[in-house]
Amino acid sequence: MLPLFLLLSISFLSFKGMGREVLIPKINSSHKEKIAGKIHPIAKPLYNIKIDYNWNKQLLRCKVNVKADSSFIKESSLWFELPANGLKSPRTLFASANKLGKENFTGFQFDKISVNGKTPDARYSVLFKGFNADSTLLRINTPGNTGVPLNVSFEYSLLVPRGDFIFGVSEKNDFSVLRGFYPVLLSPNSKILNLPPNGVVDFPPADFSVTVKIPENIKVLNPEFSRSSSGVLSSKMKNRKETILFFSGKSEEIIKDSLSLKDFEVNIFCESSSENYIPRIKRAVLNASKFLEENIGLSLNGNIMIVDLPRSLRLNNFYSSGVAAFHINLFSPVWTKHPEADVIKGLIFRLSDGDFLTDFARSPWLFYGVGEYLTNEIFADSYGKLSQSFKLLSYLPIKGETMFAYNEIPIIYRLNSFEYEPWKELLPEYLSTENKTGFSDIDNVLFSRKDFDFVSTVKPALVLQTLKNFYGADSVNSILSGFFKLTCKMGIMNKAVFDSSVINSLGENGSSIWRALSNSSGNIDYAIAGLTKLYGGVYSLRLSRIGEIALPEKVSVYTDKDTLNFLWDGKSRIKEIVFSSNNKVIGAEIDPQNRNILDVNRADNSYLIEGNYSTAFAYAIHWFFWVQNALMMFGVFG
Amino acid sequence: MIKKEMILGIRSVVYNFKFALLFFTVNFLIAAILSIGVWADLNSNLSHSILSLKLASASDFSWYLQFRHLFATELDNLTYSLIVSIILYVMLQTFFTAGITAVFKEPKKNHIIDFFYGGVKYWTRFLKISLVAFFLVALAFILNDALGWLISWAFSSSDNALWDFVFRSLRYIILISLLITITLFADYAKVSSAVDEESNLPITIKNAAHFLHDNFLITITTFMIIALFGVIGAVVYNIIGNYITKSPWEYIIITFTLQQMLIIFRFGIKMLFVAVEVSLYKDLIADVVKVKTEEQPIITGET
Repeated sequence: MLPLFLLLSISFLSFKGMGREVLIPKINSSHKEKIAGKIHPIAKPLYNIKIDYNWNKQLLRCKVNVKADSSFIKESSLWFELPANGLKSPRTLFASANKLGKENFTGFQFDKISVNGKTPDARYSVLFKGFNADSTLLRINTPGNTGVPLNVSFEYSLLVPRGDFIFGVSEKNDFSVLRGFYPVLLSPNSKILNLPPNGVVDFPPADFSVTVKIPENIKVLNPEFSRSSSGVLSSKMKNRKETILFFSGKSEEIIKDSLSLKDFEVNIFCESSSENYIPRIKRAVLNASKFLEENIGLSLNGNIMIVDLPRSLRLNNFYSSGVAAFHINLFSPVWTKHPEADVIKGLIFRLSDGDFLTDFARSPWLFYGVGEYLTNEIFADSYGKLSQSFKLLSYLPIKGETMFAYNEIPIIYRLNSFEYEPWKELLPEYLSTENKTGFSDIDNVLFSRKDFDFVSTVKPALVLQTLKNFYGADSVNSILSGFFKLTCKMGIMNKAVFDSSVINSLGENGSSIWRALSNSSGNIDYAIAGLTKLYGGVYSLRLSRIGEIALPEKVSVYTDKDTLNFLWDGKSRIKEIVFSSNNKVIGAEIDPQNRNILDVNRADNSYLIEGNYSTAFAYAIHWFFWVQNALMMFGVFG
Repeated sequence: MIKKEMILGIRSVVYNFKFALLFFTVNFLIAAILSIGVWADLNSNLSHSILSLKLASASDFSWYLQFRHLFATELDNLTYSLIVSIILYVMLQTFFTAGITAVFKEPKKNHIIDFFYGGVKYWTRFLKISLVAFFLVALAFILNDALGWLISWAFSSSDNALWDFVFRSLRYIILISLLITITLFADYAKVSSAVDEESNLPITIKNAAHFLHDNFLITITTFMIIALFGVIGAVVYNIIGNYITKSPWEYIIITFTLQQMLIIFRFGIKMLFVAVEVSLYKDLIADVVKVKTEEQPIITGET
């Protein structure tokens, strides 16, 4: 028995001097060594979770038994993450980034912890400076257990909080999501990043055996569960990162539908108000499945739960371990991208669940970035372009753009909207991020949530889009196909595997561009500094690299009769080219096909000898008319 | 009666259309001042770029985002210029509204001197009323916020998004109704202060409130009919505008002309509001002389 107060008192002793910590050294061998064969067979932990769920009190009494081999021991210790403890006090790392109310607080109340039948020395470990009350990491000392199979048992109670963060129950107490409610054994190569809300950690795949004792009127939505004669629900799940459970005590029936593909089953759970979205969800599954099969050579297998979260449960959308859970809007035309993109994203994240280790904490872009790229590709292929829009009255999407709004009320707006490819949604965040770091080694990134989104999602997805523009969709599809197949073969999903696939698909030249884009920090900005006639038919063209990242670029020089093309390695800051032409030179352009979408200023990529002022004037006229209307609108007071 | 007032109002506006051009000129000049900076930014970004040739025929979302990012500081700073210009514009507009109210009050005195005389005479009174209207509008928005919080609280534990949406729509309708009422009230307060030659603000407000209380139906109906004219103008502009191609660039001249016609039309509508409101006010507060007539027997006969 190890009372909680003891755990807490010990925790304050162990934080000193510990900053951001890498628990296990990186897997650091080169990719060439890795493609030789599987690194090691994965020793999956087995979780046996028994839950006694008191629905009225929203109280869980759990007995969790984790069986794992001793390879999980690092420096004589086992490490567990306790995600729910992020909600334990206002002074946790999670609470620093989220405003918790009293209804959101909860935490593990341990009655017993044992390793192979003995009570071990267990203490919370505080990794993050300034967050001494954080108790999301549990370190259990296990001296003398090396080489011995481990059997770790926990007995604890946990209050299910209101479902605003991580997990919880709806405000009406009729729908709950359990996630992060059990101690999670950390991977031997785990790394933990100091990133609010609760750090970024990596879990190894595991097998789960779960039993739940709950009143009969409460239904568990997870289709794997069956009710025994004694009324206890039980299930077995394999190769999951985590187990996520959904319970409903709603008087109104939750609509259930399903779709079976060859080796893949989709279970859909919707509120009755969202029933009309079910055909669209099914179509999105079919479209994604077809795209993955035809373009990436992957077929989905296993199953996925698609859950429409009730609006009184204010959890963010999440996609993990065979679950895609999101809020379906009341009005959501296809051009808003939802719920189709949510479904597609859920299916793609499903590809990251399998009998292999992952390197999520070090390379989150392998999930988020690749997922975003594929989601956008599948959406564009199946549904076309998006429309710029704003929301009226919190619900109604209107095509157009608001320039000035007051609490949902658009004051100054326009109803002409841009139509754009889905990946362009990422451009505003890409442009507005000052510190455009590379994403290959996120150790060097000073983290905020915005930085994390940039290196995990925005830049990687745009880099893949750029590679598509340089080498064609087939080449990027081949990279992704190789990546997923190598992952299964090697038993690990990490950057080295991705790099191998890039080399296989694009060769050394393409690989060097990939390295420049993924490893380097800084802007990409090319410009034509000048194009002048020197004498006779001789011209001087000055090319400039303003940004820090160098890429080879195609350059075109336009004359009144033809076009001259050449390739510039893009390395020098200023490059002057003197050339002669019998024809009248009109202008020149770097990257005429606009393949490099990461260039932050496209307008200066080209130069016209004779200026063209009409377009600027035409756009200024539109602005002028807008100002006239704004003045008239406010002039109503006069 | 409404038909008669509308006809009289339209005639007055046509007869005094030169003042609409004055409204328009001020609007044009201030908008031009506020647009020079943006034009310069666009010019520096596009004038020597081949992208300008592409943008002449089709819009480009990526360029739009890049432009907004590259010139973010300049565009943000414009907000301050815009606020100052709007304050200046509202004060000038108040002056002009005072002028045309004076002209419509005494239709025979519609010389430009009468317009400016009226402007000077009523400007302070109208400005006070505009300030009151501004605070009432602010109150309407605060009430709207409060209703929003109430709806959020009431539906926080509900999964029924449809009813939430319905109540939010109702809140929006209430806000629009309040804004219309405040505008109507401010308009008639101005008319009342000019027609009754009343410079005392509380009395003007009281008079306008009494007037609207007694004649709400006819005033609101007239207001909505004139507003409908404005909406029809905007719809016609959008329909025609959609048929005008973006390329070659000379077509911008047609678009620009059409836009300016719409702005002038809107000022015509603004004048129509004032003309009809002055006329309606004068007619509805006029003393009705009740004449009792009796049929007199025709006395005939022989004496």
